[in-house]
Amino acid sequence: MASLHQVLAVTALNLRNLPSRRWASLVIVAGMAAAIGVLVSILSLAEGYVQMERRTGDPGRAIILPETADSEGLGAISRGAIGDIVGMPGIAKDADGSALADAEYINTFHADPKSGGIVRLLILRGVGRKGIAIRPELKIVAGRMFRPGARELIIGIASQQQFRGLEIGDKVIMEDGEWPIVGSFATGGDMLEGEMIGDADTLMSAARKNAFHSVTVRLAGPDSLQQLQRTLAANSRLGVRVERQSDYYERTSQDTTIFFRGIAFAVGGIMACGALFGALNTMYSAVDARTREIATLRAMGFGGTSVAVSVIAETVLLALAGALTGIAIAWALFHGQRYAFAQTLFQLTVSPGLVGMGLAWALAVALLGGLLPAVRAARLPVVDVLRAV
Amino acid sequence: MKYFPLVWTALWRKPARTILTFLAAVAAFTLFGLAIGVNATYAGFVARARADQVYVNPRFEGALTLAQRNRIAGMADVRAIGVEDFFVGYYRDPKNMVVPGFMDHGMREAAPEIPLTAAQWDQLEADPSGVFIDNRTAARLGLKRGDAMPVMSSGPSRRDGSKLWPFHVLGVVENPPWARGGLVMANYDYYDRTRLLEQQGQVGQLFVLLKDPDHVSSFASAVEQMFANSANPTWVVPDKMQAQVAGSYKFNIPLLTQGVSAAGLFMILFLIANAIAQSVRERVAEFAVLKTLGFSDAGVMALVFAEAAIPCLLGALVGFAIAGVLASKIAGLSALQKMNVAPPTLSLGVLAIAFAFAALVAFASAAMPAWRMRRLDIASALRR
Repeated sequence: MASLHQVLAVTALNLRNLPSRRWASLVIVAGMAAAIGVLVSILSLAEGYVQMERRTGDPGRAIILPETADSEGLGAISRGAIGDIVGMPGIAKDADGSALADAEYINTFHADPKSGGIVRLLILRGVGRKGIAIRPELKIVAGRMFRPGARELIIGIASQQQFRGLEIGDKVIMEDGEWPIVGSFATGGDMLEGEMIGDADTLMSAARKNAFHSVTVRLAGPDSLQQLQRTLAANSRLGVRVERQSDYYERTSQDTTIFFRGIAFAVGGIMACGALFGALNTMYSAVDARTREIATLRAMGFGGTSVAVSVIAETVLLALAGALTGIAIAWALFHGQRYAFAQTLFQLTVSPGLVGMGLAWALAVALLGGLLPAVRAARLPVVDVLRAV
Repeated sequence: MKYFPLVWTALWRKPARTILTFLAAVAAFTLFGLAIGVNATYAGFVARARADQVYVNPRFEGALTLAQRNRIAGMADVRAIGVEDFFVGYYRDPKNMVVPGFMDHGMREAAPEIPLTAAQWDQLEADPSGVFIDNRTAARLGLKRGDAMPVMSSGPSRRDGSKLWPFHVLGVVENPPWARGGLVMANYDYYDRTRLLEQQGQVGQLFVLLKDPDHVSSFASAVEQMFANSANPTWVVPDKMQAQVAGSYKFNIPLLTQGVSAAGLFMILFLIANAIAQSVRERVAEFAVLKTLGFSDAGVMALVFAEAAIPCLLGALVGFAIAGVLASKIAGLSALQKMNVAPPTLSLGVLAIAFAFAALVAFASAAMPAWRMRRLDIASALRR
């Protein structure tokens, strides 16, 4: 216990004379703020993307895709096949006894960013009668739902905020003329909020297409996926396969997530190295500037370990202050910002997990950066230093 | 230059401080080099984009037709026109996605960026089911020249009902930087002959070279108008715009790279400023002696600047070299290829920018101590 008291006493002493070393200490704070700020900023991309994908993928739903297609929008499922699929066991039933299964058609539309810049292609999703029933999270927030069979569209709130000409009442140019936007919808921040939705059959006739891209179903129970898989395998002529919706989105988002995380850790790692050298430099100077003080403390009976630990404690405190500053800046600049990536829109997210990771990195850098100067402080030749006074 | 030993000795007064400062500068400029290098890559795409090249795309999901190609080919502005179509498919396993691009004879002239020699184009035309692939695709799929390369389509079927196209590899060419995802170059006429009758004559994209680059926008609106009310409306994209899309379509590259490089510079600014301030503070008496010996105020200032500049500039040089090594290493990473992201270009121009910023950081960090030494009062400094 005595040594803990010593550590606290010496650390308090160090912190009290911090103001006299404020510029040197600022090196650690600023270095850590920059390194952790950048790390957390780039990770907020990956985090926002992953959270959006997770919200979109519901383990209680499954998606049926053509065997030849790796993702939605490729390949084709014929109307005949849809009729067979909808009747298969494992699919939950609506109140009226009909299957909660929806054949969907994916197209794209051109969107002009409000901020100017280059036209983007976003997803235009054609859904059938059960498209809304299997997605209870979809809520109309303004205007109304499109009518089945009508040439009408509804727009996700994320797209509506980001792109021009997508207000209710605006017209969208389609293959067969202009379609009005009649409502806007929210889904609690999932991928659909970046999309436009209309009636699948009407969209397909406008595009002169006669095949669907996917079937999304609500699963009846925990074993339903296996049941459905078996039934589809027994009907291999349909040429389709089924995947749990959450697994599907996790699989299709993997490359992007790995890419963002890779950039974040590479950039954050290099910056952390820079911050480490800065911390080492600062703490060596701090120890050098206080050789007499440290020697006096040692002569008074303070242990080498207490002195060493106090040096590390000071580094850790400065580094954490810097990391918190960096995280705060990243949060203020980026948290909640909408970001368009390929055909999706998502919000950058500085989650509690990212804050924890940023602090953990700072702690690791501080421990490394404080260690060597601490050893030097502990090994000061007390007698020589005091004789030189 | 003759005072270099003076500065050098001053730097080695505290070797630990100098080395740590230098290492921090190396880290910052490694990052700076990579970030500015990525920027340079995409700026290069835009700069190299041809002002006279335009792409005619379908306005909606769907296709254009050879009939449209013929009408556009007849326009006075057109110097060359080529057609391309593609389908998404896979080689052996759905995980091995392959997108063969089918090109007609006109592509030889209209798409000079396609990395085929005249002899290779001849081969492609003579052996219709043959394809050329780039070395990235070859490595990814484990293919070499002469191998069979059956590709299963996830969309269009053949006329005989099957979806399997029996290609074979005519040769492997170097991957061009604009196609990090890989290239499979195939014969359009063969594809058109073998696919379903009702899809015959469909075209995914038209490549057009114009006689006069100033006519790009009038050509674009003329084409869009010509087909506005047809069964296949068009969307005309100039190559310059396409190149910008490549940089910003997926994410805002300039924002990311500038943010990262600014953060890196900010990090070392404090570090170097602090190091040089400390070093000067400890040697006030020394500077007073120099002044006594007849060094001018400006000379003393220059010494302080040089002391800050050496670790900065050396750090920039070494950081640039490390960035160059990293860039060549990451070019082969599959994560980057899957995202079709091009690796950083570390050109002499990028090095020059790094040096300029290194000098700027050195100047900013040494300004205060240098000014103090200029105004140093010799008598009171020597008395200490």
